[in-house]
Amino acid sequence: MRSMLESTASFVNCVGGTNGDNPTEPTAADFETVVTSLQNSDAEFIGDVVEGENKFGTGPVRDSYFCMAHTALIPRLQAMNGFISKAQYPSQLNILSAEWGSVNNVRLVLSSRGSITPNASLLGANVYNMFVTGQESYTSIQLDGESAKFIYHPPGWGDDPAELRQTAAFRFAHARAITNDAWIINLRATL
Amino acid sequence: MSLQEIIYRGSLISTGAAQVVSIPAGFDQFVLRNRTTLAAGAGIIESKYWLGMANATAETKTVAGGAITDAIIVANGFTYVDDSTNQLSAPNATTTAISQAAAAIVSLTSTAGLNAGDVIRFYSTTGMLQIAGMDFSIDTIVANTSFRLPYLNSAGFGAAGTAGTFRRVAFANNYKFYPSWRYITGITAAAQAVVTFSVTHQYVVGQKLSLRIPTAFGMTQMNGLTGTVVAINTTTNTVTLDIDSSAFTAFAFPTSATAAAGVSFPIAVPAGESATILTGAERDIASRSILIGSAICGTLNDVMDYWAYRSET
Repeated sequence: MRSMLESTASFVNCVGGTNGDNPTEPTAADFETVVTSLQNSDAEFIGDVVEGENKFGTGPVRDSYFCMAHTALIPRLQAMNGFISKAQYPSQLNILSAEWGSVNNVRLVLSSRGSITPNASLLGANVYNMFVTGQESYTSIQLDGESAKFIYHPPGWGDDPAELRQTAAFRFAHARAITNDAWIINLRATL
Repeated sequence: MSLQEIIYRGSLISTGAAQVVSIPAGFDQFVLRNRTTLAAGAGIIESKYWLGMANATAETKTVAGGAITDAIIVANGFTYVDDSTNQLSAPNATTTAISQAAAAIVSLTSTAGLNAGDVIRFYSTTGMLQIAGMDFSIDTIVANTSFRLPYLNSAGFGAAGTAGTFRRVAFANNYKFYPSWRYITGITAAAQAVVTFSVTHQYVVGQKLSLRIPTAFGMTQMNGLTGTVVAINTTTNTVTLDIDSSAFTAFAFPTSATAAAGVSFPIAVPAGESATILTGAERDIASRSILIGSAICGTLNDVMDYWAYRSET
């Protein structure tokens, strides 16, 4: 899925930062640009509003698109104006373990397997792809008869008279595609 | 010690230029034999490559006058490609100039490892930062002197480039899924807009493309429009879309200074296909393969056989 989104989603560069590169590091203004574009395309939010409550150190979270990005961006994301850590959400219900926080109308979900395009910035730095997605913007279709299968053959299986070899493999097939290219934007950033 | 070996074999007809052979399971050794030169008794009859050899190298056997000569070549040989790994070459920082021309010429002191048809990723292009970060197909390589960016018309740029660094993008298809997005380097103002891409586009008639044109690139009326490809031109690397852009403002790259301050790039993204074709379906094209470079690819219509050996331990 990550490779499909890298290859086919439209992108915009972060330009609000000050690191001197193009794209720059991410800023709240860049997320606002993406949110505006998705709203102009009638993309639906995924996350509901988390209403404010009378709890110290918390703040309400807007209804949100979801953003999938690399964990290397954590320092830059946390430094953005308006960033709300998930620990500061008024309610801890319906929060993903991979969620890091939110900014503007975007909730940030991070992974160490996030998408990187190497050496693709103006100065040759790695570019981090942050996929900001609305509801039903992309899909994954399991193909009948080819669902995931783990295959293990112990020593002695097949042409192995000395029982020296064992093999393990997995096999699956599924199709992936963007269903509406106006409902997902790759916001590209450097560190 | 190897307990068994998988051999993946096949034949190909030379196009007279570098070409890619897909080896899905990978390999440890690759052997290419040229039936045509073997029959003629002249030319390179066999080329070999092992994993671990430097890119663009090969061990060759050349026959001439009834004698066979072994040699190691260090340019335009084999290059192993694994596009599941975002494989890039080491940086080449020997660029001394990028010209302002209908097809920009890059002057440099080392063309080692480059083949016509390669894709490069340019950055730090001093004086021409509007292309920094973009990928380009290249052709017309003059050894250790220059290569051409056939799909970049830089004639209207404010200044020539005076330096730059690039890396070779090892996978010829550039991205892992087909069809993928492409950088746009030009759009005509015409009854049917003609769009030029920086990298060989691979689009076909009937596919739909949606265009993203940032304000800095002029033709903002095109931003967000989706058109159907009604014609393609593989020589100019263009597609013709059923979008009337004749009244749109001209497409133009921003200045180098504007780009340095931060811009997005104009791109086309795949957006489906007309009901009459199915070739635009999204599919995974990531694979392991080997690029047969121009020094060993034979001449047009040479018949060649190959064996890719993979040892299982």
